[in-house]
Amino acid sequence: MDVSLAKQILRHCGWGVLAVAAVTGLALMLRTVTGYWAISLVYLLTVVFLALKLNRWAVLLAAALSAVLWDFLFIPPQFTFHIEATEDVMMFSMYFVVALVMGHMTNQLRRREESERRREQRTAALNRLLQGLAVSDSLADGLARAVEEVNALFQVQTRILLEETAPATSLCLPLRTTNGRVGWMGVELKGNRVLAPSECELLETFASQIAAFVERQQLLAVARQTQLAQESERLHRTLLDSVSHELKTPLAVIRTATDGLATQLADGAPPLAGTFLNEITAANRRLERIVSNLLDMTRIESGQLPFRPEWCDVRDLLESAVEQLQNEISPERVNITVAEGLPLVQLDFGLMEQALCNLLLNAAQHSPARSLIRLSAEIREGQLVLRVTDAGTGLTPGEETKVFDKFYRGKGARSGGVGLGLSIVKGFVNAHRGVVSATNNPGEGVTFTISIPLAHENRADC
Amino acid sequence: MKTVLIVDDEPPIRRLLRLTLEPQGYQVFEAETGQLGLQEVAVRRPDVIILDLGLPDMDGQTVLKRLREWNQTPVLVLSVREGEADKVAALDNGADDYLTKPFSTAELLARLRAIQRRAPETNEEPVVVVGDLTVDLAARVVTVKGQDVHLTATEYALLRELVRHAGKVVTHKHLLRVVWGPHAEEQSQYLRVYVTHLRQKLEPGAGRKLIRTEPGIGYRFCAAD
Repeated sequence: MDVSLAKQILRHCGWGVLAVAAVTGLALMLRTVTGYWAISLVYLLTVVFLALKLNRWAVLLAAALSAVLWDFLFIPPQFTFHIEATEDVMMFSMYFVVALVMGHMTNQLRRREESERRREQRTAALNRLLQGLAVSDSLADGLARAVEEVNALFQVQTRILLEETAPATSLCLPLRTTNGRVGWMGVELKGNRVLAPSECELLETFASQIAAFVERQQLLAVARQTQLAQESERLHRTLLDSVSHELKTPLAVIRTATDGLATQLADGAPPLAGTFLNEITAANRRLERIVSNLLDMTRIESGQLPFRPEWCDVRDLLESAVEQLQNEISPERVNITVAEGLPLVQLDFGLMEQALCNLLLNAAQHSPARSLIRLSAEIREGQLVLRVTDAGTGLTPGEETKVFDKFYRGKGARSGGVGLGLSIVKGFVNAHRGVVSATNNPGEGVTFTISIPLAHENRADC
Repeated sequence: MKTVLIVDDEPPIRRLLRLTLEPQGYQVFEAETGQLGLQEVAVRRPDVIILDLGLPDMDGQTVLKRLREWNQTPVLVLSVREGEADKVAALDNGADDYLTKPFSTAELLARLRAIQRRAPETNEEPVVVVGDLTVDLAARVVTVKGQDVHLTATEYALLRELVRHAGKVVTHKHLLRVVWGPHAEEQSQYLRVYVTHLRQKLEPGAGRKLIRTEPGIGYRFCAAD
């Protein structure tokens, strides 16, 4: 039994003794008027009153003490414990039993009422907590309310931590949900107070309600974020699509118009008409390329790049790229080497074709007309390695990584181009989890190397 | 006279297509929305339809689906380069071919001609000749420069399917389904391997003129125009 309880019992006993003594004094004065039997009723009343206020031990003590005092001071012969008359003996023993039983029952009643009140308090507190959590519009708000409620109800200091590590408090309750622990509720008890089992139970109920609230808020936050991301992605895509449409439609119109004009011009046109038309056609092609580069770059930057890998025949890819550019680079200028027995590789054909086209265009731009451009493919150390080698002037030292920067244009670059081609190559290759690099050749020109890892599943059984 | 219906919301595109197609002997009808387009198909009964996928009132795909519920007129879809998924969806929804903006007039005319040609059954038009290549669909004989080429059953089935749709794009899914069966629709690596073999056998050396790759979509057998 701990000290505070013992102290409380002693205090109550003291009050009991004091009350009995006071009543005894009163009874001594009343005795001549009422006779000694009535005094027993006064004592009985006292014991019942005491039972409403004091604990069990004090009531017991008061009942015993009053019985003894009644016997000693009032029952004849006075001032002895001896009782003469038979009816007095009966009266004394009945008084003693009735006092004890009344005292005990009254006490019991009071305790039951108290516990009822406590239970009601807890239910009310739990209700308040639930209501508070239900109307909280944020996680922090709800937790603040919960902490307040727990502190007020249990007279403790509470902290709620949504972390992995438990707080260093005297009591630590995990906030558990069906999906695991979401945090801890740390409760600091004053002194060396111990919580009653019923209090512990209630605290655990609180903890589980708080955990459910935290989980709900977290799920809500995730849902909100996802919705926001989807919204912005949709907006981005719509914007890109409409810009793409707006830019490309006039280009398509010019292309169709020049094509139509070219067929009309075939017979007997003014001498310079054909030349002008060719200029328009060439300028339009260039514009088409710039627009498509800008759109590609925007897609890379905004993470809207559609990446759809499929099994690709690498030779097909290289030849397809060269063919795409047959108007810009004569196919005879490009020497394609594909290693024997190259397996199929998972690539986004469209993106890689575009990347190779950009490298080929870059090579053609930075090397003498009609010089050879070598395009090769092989597998080396689990990587697909594609190389584009030109016979140009090469890079100035330090330019090897800069050339892939956006809007960077080589020192010796001729006019034309906005410096996006190579950064698009980098973006497309990165989408394949690959890398692209540029190195000067020992002799002349530059080699651009694309390395794309072949994932385990990237190998087809052929 | 052939009739063509252009469904596109851009007036300049419609105007230019008209200017391009009329000298080629087409009678041109125009519609600027999907709804009007569907009405025009019912009223004008065109021989071929050019459909832009980006329409103001409804998605081009929806137009295609509604159209295919009651009408089998060949449809050429206009799309932008990035829309591979859209193109595949359009082809799945019943489009016959697609054209990427910006396109050249020659390409447009070739595509229109190709989609109006019905796929030949083995008994009609049994021999296809393209350059050095001869495919006798009735006799199942393939020759290059007069020399017999030995093809495996699968290679022949693949070639036959491409030749039947000469000039038109044939999707990966379609080829896999027809040649390997419905369970193989996702096994695109089969297709790559056999296309590579076919190219080597039909055009040793330089070859990918006959069977062209349409990235992300399928293959196109190039009939000589």
